[in-house]
Amino acid sequence: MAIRSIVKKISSPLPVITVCTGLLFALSYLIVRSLSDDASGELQFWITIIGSLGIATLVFFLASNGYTLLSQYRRNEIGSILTAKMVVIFFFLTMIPFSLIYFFSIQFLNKGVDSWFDVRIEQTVKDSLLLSQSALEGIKEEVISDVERIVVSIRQNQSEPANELLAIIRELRAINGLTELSLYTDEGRVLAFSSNDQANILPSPLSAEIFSELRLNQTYTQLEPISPTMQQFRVVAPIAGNQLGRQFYGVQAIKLLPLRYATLASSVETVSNQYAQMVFARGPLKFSLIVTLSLISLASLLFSILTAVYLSRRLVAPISNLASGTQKIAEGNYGSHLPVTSSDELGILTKSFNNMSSKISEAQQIALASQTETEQQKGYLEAVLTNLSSGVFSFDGETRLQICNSAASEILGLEQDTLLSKTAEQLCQPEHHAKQFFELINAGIKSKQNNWQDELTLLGTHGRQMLIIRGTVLRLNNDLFEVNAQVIKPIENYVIVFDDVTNLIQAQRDAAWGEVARRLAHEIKNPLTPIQLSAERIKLKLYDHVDGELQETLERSTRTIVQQVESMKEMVNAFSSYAQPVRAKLAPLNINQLVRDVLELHSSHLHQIEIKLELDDNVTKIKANASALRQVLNNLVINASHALEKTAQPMITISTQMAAKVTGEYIDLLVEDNGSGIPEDIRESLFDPYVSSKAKGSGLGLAIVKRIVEEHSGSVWARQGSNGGTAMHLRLPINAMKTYRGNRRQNSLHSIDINPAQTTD
Amino acid sequence: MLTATRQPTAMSRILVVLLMLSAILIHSIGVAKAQSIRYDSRGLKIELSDDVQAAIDSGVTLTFENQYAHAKHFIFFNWHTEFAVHEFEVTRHTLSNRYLVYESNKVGPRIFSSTRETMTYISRASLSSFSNYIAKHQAHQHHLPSEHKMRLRLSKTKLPGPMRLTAFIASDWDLDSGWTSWQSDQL
Repeated sequence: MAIRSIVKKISSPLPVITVCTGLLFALSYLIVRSLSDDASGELQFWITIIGSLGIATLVFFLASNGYTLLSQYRRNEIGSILTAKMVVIFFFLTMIPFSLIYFFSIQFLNKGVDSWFDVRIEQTVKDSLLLSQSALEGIKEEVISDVERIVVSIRQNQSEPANELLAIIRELRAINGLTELSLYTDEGRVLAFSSNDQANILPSPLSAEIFSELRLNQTYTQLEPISPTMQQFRVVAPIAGNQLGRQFYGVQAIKLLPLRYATLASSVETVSNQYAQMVFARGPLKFSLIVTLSLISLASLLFSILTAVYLSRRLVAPISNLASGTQKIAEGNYGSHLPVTSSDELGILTKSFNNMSSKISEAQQIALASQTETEQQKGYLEAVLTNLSSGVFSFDGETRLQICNSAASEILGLEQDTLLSKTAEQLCQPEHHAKQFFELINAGIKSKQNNWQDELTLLGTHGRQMLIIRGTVLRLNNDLFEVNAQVIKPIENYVIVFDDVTNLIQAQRDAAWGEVARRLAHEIKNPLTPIQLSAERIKLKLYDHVDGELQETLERSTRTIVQQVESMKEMVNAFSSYAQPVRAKLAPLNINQLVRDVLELHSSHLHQIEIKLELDDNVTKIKANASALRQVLNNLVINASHALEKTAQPMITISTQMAAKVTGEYIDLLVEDNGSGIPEDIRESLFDPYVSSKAKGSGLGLAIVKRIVEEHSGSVWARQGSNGGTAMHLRLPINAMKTYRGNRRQNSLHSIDINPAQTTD
Repeated sequence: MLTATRQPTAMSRILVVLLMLSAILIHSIGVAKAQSIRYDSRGLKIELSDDVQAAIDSGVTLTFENQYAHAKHFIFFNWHTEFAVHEFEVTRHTLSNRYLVYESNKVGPRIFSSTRETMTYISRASLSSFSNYIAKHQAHQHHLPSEHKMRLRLSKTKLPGPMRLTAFIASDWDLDSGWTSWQSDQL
């Protein structure tokens, strides 16, 4: 981490640009110095080193920044794309003028260097050199001529002794204005020597080349520079061999070039050399200048790109912060504040963003509080709806069910999930026990009435139910209004409230019949015994005092009175039995066994009727009052037997089975005969009290059956039998207390729970 | 069958570029060390390239540096001490068509008719000067084991300014004997 921190600090813009600027200045300075003539050649080395170092540094920082930018782009960091685009734009903005300047600089450089080399100047320099050489050639000829005369003179005086010869040499040197004159043997030994410089005691040695020339009997002539401004002619000439008793002699004469000639010749030599150097160095000079220009241009370009990268980052940073802050707000993180780093337009924009973020945060808090309050209200409403005993439906404007409380689900015996989000039309589609209910609701919604009410008897999972349904149209926007030139209609929702009033009606009926029974007992039953007793006393008092026809009349009348009173007592007792609620505990009951017991009881007077049992052994035990259901079966069997009195082949079929048509745990008990069937006129009121097709019937048998069955949360109905007779159909719940109607307080039934293990025999 | 190929990363590309640059640098160093001044049985032999010959014929002054060093062995290292430099400036005298050699320790130039004679003189003078250098140091022989080394090379830094960059880059201008140990009997 420490190394990364150091690298990060070093890579920050200020140090990098400072270092690169320093390197560029150093490079520029060295290049300028190197172009001057008096510069040391070592500068070229430092130019190369510093230039390479500067370019390497720039490339390194560019590569690291480029890699960082690429990594940020791959990570989809905010601002990386914009930074890359700005860098590319800066690059092209720099590259286009740079390329033009570089191209024209190269052109100007080539033209400029070429313009230095004019053909006329070159010819002038050559002519000057040739002129100098011609002049020097003339001087050389003079010196050679002098030397030839000296040679002749030495030959003429060859017989002179050595000291005389030396004097002659001195004289000849002085006469001819020579700097040095010396006489050599073929072995190189000096025979005589004279110099105008007294300090010079030895002559200039002869080189091997000179001796080679002498051996060939040729004169050696050479112009020799002795200093930058002094030149001399060296002429070595042979003397005829054996003339002095030796193979040959050589005479060397050195004549200093006159100062005026020497200076001019040196000047021409220098200029000629410089021009030749320039001509030779034209190619290297161009190359050197182009390389230098390219080096400084490349460094400047890299520096510009690097600066563009840092500048782009600096410019994009506030925009990146804004984008990041906007993204946070989009993610729901309100209230974030961005640093305000400048006072320009971006700074103003950042301040505005901070203000906006604060206001959004405040608005969000207010909205959150409002939402919490709404949710609390919604929760309260849901709690109310949940605890409401009435079923509540709410349909939206498209008649789609939005709210269904638990009471509604419980009353209808349908799961909420199967109802919600369906339209009223869709709710009517499936074949289920509540189809009639939903059809009624759909009709009520379509009627567009503000308020409507209806009643419905439904045979549902809880048995027969009487429902009172009330519908209301709920208009959320009562007035039309316009939004963006569109008329917004009021939203119509529909609220349906329904109650299961079965218990209420049953209670009212029970109360009514109880009142009737009480009145019958009080108003009818009580006088019957005195009537009967009075009739029997009349018979007892008058029977012996009359005779004949009168006695017979008395006998018949009193008997009729007693019989009718008895009949009335039976009727009152039966009615009392009907009105009296069942007060016994519910206990597990095997309905198949009960059927067999009842048939056994009636076996004596049913011997002429064929009894057919179709009992399902899989029928589970039900919770029921055994004595009450025994009475039900008695009534049904007796009714069936009475219906078969005029039938040729009477037959009673009793069957049990598990209910299959509706959901829930029910059993079906079917008592069917092949009698004459139910008369059409009493078919609708068959189970009402005092309705009977029999002449002697009280009309309470089926009413009692219906009452007991309903007390068990079951249902009973009659239909045409398969053999043309009557089929009485009973549907009883297996566990009456767990059904809806078993919870009714007014019901006097008490339950003993069935052990699941006892569900089957 | 399709196969997945991994794209080279930016760092790997940078590494490849650096490796290529290193290879070029190593190659250029190898070329620079090619010896155009070498020793054979007759002594030092200096071979001038065409560019150098053309330069000297065009009046460019060439400076040959003859460097001497006294290397001492210390543990595993050789320490070069007591450097000495002897310079030869070679120029062409256009008017006389002769080659002049100026030496740092002599006043007048030596005159030669060809570059071969000039180079021969420089090689002999270098060895002679080195012999004197050894003789001088043998008188003050150090107790540590030591050897003497010599190097003769063309100084590129003393070329005219416009030619230096070309001389630094072009191998034709690499006239360098390298540091060589010499025995006294070779001199």
